[in-house]
Amino acid sequence: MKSVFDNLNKVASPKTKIELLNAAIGMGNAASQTVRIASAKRLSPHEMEKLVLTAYSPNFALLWALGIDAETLKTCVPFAGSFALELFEGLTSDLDMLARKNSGSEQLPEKLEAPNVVPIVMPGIKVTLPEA
Amino acid sequence: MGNETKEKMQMTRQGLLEVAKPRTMSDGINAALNMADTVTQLLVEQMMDEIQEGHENPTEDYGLTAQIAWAPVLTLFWQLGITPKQLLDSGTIPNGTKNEIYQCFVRLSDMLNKMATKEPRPAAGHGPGCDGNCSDN
Repeated sequence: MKSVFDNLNKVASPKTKIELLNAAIGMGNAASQTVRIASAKRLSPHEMEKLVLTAYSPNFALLWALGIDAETLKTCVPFAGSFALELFEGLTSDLDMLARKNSGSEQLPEKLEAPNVVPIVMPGIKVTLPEA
Repeated sequence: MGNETKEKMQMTRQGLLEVAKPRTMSDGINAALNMADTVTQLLVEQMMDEIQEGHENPTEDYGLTAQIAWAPVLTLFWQLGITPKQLLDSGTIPNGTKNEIYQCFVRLSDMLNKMATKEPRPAAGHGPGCDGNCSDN
């Protein structure tokens, strides 16, 4: 794990603040549009929750990378729903914790072995399933 | 896009620009790697639970679920300037879904790169991370 950190540390060349901001606003707008379109389809609360999380998670990750917290976000952006804000608070809190955790630390939980998988092709998407 | 919407977007942009304090590279790498680890374990646990519960087709949408779970992680790698090939070579992506996650990162990187360069970039002579409003003006 430590060597992966070192390897990435050597090749990483972080995006500029302005690039992050452009991408965050762009992804935020795309997510809003996705959720707005889906709202008309009468999804169940669980489906809607999954959709909001899916649509907004890259946007939220970018805002975290910019160092924006939930309080700041509320004052800068006319945020659509409290649910999305709750998700943002949850993700940023997790990311804060994970950023503080050293990647070379021995405190990380033991890794689980992934079951063997075989590739199959489904309409529109290539999916892998575990072997029976 | 209407004038009012444009104005609101500009206000949002200016507000965020003023308060943003980007994370350090080390924070970004730690968060990305640890989150990748967490996501991998969650997905494996979910798959094992479903198999144990005897679902007829337990992991029907496993590839899709994996892509959704990896989306914020991949975004963090993108902001670090890590390319899909570099991520693949680093050994961060587990074998089971390597191809799906790689393809997902290629598409996401492409989209984010386009969005990141949509607005004017800092003028020549400004350093990385500068929004063009530094004392070099």
